[in-house]
Amino acid sequence: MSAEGAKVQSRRLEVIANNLANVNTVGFKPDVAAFQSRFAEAIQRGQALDGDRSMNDVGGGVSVFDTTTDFAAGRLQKTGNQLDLAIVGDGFFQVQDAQGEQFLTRAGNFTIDSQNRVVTQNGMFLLDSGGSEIALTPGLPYSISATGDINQAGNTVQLGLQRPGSLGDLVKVGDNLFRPLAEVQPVEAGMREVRSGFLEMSGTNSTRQMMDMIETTRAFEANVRVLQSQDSMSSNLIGRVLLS
Amino acid sequence: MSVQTLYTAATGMEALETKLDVIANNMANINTTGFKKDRANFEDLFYRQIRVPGSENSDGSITPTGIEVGLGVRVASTQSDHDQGAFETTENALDFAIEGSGFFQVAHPSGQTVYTRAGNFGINANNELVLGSANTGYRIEPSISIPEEATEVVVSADGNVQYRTSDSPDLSSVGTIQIATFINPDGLLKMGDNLFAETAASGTATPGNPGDPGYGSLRQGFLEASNVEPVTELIDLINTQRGFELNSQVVQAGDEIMQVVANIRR
Repeated sequence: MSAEGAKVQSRRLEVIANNLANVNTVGFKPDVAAFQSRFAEAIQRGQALDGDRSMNDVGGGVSVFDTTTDFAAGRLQKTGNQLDLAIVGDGFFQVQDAQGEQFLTRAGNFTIDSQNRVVTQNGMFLLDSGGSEIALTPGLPYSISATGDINQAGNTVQLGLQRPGSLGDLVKVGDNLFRPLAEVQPVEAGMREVRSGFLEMSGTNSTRQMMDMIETTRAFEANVRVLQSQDSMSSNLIGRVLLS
Repeated sequence: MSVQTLYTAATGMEALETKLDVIANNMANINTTGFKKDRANFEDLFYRQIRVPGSENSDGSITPTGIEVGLGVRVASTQSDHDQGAFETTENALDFAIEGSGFFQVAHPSGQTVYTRAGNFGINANNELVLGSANTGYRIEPSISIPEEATEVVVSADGNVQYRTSDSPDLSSVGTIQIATFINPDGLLKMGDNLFAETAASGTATPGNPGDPGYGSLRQGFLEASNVEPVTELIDLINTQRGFELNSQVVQAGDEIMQVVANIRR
């Protein structure tokens, strides 16, 4: 039981370590490790009712934990670079890799590739609301409106801002990308807001993470201490049985 | 188990060290003519999917969340910021600044054309206009020779180079300073000596005359200062240092846990 507790705490520390490692990652969303207390085994097997206040009601420790991603908006930082885009409120940028697989991202640090296309730092193509790649004409000035319209020389393309039905449908795949597990829908016209020249910084709150980390290490130590006292109890018991 | 914690925190420290290197270089070039500052872009590494969200649990229901443990961070790119730097007036007739986009083209000894925003030119022994930086002296392309008898050099905003002699008050033209633009200037390779080289990412150079649509215009008697903003860099520096400290704390926490594990059996 305590061993399980210690293991879960150490997994939680790994999650905190990743959050803190990404304290400077644009568009990063921190994970929260959530614990689940386990029912007593008797209850789980259906041999007793839960909440009957008997010996069987003693919980079974802690078990599997979930990692949920905290999608709260990060702080916006001004960069002055026109192709740095930040989404205010809901939605994600839709990007596509060379194999045609589509991902969502909140990291808006885009650049232009040698074929004039707007790409992520890894060379993935940013998609417009029609799902096609966005290309700019070299040398001509362009502007990006607050609703995500890119205007260049009379041509307008609209950024594809998408969101999944539920934020739980997103799997983190690294490289600042999320893989949607279900269909994504465009963000409604009135809800679209994009800031050009700004970046959404990491959502990691370092103070909170530090506190979680202290708590985690202490909880780990406490679990191990219980483990040790259980060990000494059983060794006493064995000793006594052997003596008698 | 906690070993992962150590490695994850280590990726954070490594990435932040790179960022610190970038900041140090920006700060060092705070007075470099035509210098374009860099920025380190971070991205998260891949995730260990212990349980994918939306998988079916033993009861047959779909779990709303999964267990994903991230493995840290890396530097995705260092991106140059080609924002215009401030103009410094020098009143030197052979100092030029480009207002807007474009780069001066100079001939590299390798035969390749290289690019710069540093417009501090001079005249070499063959009367050619050359880059005035310390160990280069590369000729401007296409080359421009200014006759020895010239007493005054006048360069217009569209790059036309004219000179006057003491004999005649009329201006005679000796050529045009062309500039080159790139689709993606962020993709240029920094060579040092204030020079940039073309890469597959930058696209090929499209030379043109200053003042053409999409090209900047020339300002004689000015230099473009470095676009490093000390305040921003200092804030970045503080942030980086704090981030580094946070990650080192994580290493300590991971170490502490391993120590506790090592002492389980007394």
